Amino acid sequence: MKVLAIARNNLVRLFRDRSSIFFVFIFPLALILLIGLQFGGSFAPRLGVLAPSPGTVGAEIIDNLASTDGVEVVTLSDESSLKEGVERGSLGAALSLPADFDERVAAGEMSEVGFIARPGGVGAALQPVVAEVVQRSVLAANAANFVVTQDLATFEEALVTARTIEGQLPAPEVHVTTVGEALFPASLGRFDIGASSQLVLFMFITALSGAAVLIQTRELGLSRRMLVTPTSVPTIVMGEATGRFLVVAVQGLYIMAGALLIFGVDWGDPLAALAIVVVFSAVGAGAAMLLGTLFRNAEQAGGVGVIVGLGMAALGGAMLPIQLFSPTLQRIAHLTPHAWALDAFAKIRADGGIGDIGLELGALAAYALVLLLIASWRLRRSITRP
Amino acid sequence: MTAVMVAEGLAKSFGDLQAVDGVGFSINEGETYGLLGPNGAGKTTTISMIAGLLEPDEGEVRVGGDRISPRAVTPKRRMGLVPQELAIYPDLTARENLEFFGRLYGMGGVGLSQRADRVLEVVGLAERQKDLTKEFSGGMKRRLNIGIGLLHSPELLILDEPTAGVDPQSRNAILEAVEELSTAGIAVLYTTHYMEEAERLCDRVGIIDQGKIIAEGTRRELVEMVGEKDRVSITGTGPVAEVVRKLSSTVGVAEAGESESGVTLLVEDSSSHLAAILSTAAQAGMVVSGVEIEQPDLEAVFLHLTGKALRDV
Amino acid sequence: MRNIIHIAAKDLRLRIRDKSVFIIGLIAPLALAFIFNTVFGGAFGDDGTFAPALGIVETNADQTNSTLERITSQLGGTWQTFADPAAAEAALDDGDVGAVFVVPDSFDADLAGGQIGEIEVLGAIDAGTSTQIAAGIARNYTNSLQTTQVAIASAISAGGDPADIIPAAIDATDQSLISLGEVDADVRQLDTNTSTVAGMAMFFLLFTAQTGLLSLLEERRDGTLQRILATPTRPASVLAAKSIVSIVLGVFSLLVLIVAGIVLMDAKWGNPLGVALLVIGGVLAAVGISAVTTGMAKTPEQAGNIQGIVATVLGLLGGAFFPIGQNGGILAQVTALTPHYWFSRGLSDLAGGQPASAAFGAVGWLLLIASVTSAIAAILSRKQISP
Repeated sequence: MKVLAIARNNLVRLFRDRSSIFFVFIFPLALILLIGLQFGGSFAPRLGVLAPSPGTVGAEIIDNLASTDGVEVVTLSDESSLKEGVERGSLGAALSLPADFDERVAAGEMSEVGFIARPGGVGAALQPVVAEVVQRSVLAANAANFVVTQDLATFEEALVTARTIEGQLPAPEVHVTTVGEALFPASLGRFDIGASSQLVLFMFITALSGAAVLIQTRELGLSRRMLVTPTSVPTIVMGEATGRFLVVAVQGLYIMAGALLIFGVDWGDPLAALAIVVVFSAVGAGAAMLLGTLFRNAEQAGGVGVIVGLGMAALGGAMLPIQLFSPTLQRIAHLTPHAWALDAFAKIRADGGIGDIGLELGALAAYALVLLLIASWRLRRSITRP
Repeated sequence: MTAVMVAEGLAKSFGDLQAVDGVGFSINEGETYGLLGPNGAGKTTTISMIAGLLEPDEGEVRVGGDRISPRAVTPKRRMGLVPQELAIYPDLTARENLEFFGRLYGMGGVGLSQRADRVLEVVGLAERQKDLTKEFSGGMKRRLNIGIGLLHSPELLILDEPTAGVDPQSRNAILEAVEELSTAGIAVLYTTHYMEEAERLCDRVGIIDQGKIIAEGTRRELVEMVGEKDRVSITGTGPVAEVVRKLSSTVGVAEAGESESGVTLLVEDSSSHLAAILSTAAQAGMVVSGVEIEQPDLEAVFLHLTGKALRDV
Repeated sequence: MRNIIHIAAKDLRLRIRDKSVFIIGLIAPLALAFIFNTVFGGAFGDDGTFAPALGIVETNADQTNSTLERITSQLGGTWQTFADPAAAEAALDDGDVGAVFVVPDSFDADLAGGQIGEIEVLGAIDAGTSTQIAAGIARNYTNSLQTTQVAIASAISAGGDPADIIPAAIDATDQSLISLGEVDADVRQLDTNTSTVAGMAMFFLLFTAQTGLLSLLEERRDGTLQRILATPTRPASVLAAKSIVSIVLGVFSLLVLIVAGIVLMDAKWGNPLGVALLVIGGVLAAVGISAVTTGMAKTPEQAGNIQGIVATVLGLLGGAFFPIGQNGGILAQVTALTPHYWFSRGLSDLAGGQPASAAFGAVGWLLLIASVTSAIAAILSRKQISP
């Protein structure tokens, strides 16, 4: 009962602070929204197209580019924003059709299309893709031009014939097959990945911010005051740990529910998801207790908490999917609890149940246990010795 | 005698609250002036205007002839302020605290260093001058708090309730220090809601209530102003009713009545009438076992003027 | 006013005694930039260049395959060779290679005999760009084949003599009405290292820049402000001293971070004068914003909390953590309201050896943010400076 009283006290203090309400409850969902809006579309390089008077051929080029997978076409209206977009990296590359493009193609005259890219960038590597689409669109016109060079017909007549023949003649084919399992299945909602990443990131940061509260409690002499009441040291330690745990777990469940209701995020098996949140909260509580015993100054612990929280999140794949890491870095990543929790979420998203994430839950539980044991030992020392 | 500080018609309101309403008084060289009133009477607001922390809505303060305002720099050099709450930097040493404020008063070099030595000596912190003040005891912090106000040898030192929340021992030390200042010729403005402090320290007292000075003068003047009488309690046995009747008509006795252990009288100037009163009581058959005289104090004055006891407010 | 200097000196001494400013101003941004670089740099390549990893399947190395030769000539020198499609698929699955060309041995022979062959491109599912590039290269080749075929057929149907037409058409294969003129764009973008250091530096600058101003509220709470104002010190001098402390700490932390970025993370900052101007603009903007948040608060705790929220929101919107608003839309407009955006933008403008003047635009925007926020703060702080 006393454990619960100390724990409850922790929760009440959390909810009384308005800025913590922002960070704990409003901010994570806002970030899930922001990241969904920002990255929910695709990672495909963007190709800017400027076509003041495209005509049939130009329109065909734009259509063909737009239907190419792995490239996102953006139509722009002026040369300077095209150039600036490429220079600043908001466009991978850009294609600029001259103003008289339509006229010249219709008359069988040569014209040059500008392909703008930064040397070495992903856009520059797209050159063969763009070149292919452009040449395919102008295929019949090129054949007609050949007929004209042989003095056999006018360009207009030859173009009509060439178009007909192009439609009838079987062409050599290029067949594209994709291999492997997608990192992000097509069924994944735009908010899904962001949601589990933000969940672990914020739960951990919230947990660590509890370290400062722990230090303040000690600074204010409250721990010693509690010790004066008939409350044993293990009870106080358990109470503080339960308090941290509850704060983190409440936030975790709130983010889950919020993301589910507002953004329709699919978390997978509810029981398994709940288990991850509970065990991860325990890890957070342990980490907060440990951090709280390592520092004497609440502000310093707060600063270190932010570094550790953001740093471990980045390393654990809560900012960039771990699958994009090098193999060595992936192994290092699994030193963080974040990586294990995210692995578990990925498994239950892929229709796994609680039985499939036993390894991940076990690893997290081991973290929680070790952290709590070390922290209890240190906390016990710090409140019983002045 | 020249006035160090003259305040005239000071008024200040915060929203609907008229905190100070037409306060005016002056303090002469070497004089200790007590501003006495309950919490919320307007003492701190008045002091803030005198110290140039607040711009008055009406009226003005002159120190050494110069008008005070938040932006007036020259007259502030003549004043020292000791705020009610501790106002020292916990992460600076005692000496660094003194030297910082000394520099703000335009002091520097050897002069500042020597003056800091002297003040540290006076407030008894010379040996701890290199320690951070967060390591200090409450009393030590209080003494430094006052020391900072003294550092630049002001002509007028303003002490805002310097003994509020202080243990009896430190309180006595502070009172003694203020008495010494007065002997050294420094004018002191002292606010308090402790009557006994005002009675002990102040040459003149202004009583402030609800933003107005309702009475001003030396203690004697104030007592006379409100016409308070001495309270004489005679304990003893005998025919009490008879004694009361006889005493009622005795010269100097304004009022007489029975009490549990004898008779209680209100007497005008008890020292000159006490002998006659005691003989009258004896003649009426009373065996007197004790006499107690209570002269009227500022507490009584305050009660008389405002109809409320000071400490209850 | 000498008192401005005395107060600022006292505050700096206090900040140095309290080590928190070093954690927030120096250690935190460096540690995070280092971690982010390790994580993100590994994924994207340190210099931001992209080269598709392509391969070919060559089942019969003895036989010349002119189609494969045509294709490999487009690959710019490096490709992997696999003995059979199964080996290629395994490599694709492991992510060792992004896409692989499979050309049947009989492709050339079929073509000569008038048969239509098929080139296969195997692509790793998460290497969409590499796959598209490989498909583009293959289709470029089939397009040229098809152009020749259509040209010959059209010429013959127009009455041409096949004996003349066919060699002429093969000669003309690579002639096109439309040529692709390649233009190399300037790079006005920071490399990953520099941009993460810059982002983190600016994010934490908002906390560092607040420390000076925050002490105004602390002094108000602790009564020392009242005491300072009772000395011959003008209220405006106190405000000036606090702002100076914020600016000094901000400039100092940014400069140390810039140097540390060069030494520890190989950051490239560009023209020193331009960078110096951006540092000044960025610090002034950060101090202006801090002055507003501090001006809105009644207690130092409250000010710290508001600043935490404002700094995090601005950092996110300003792209300090990940690029934002690159896809246009409302986010692109919102991000331009943050000093983080203009600081990075200014540094990008300096990238590639541009002169200091390239950053003038961004510096101007930073100064505009600084002036607007300072004006608001001046109104807000009137109350705070009174005791």
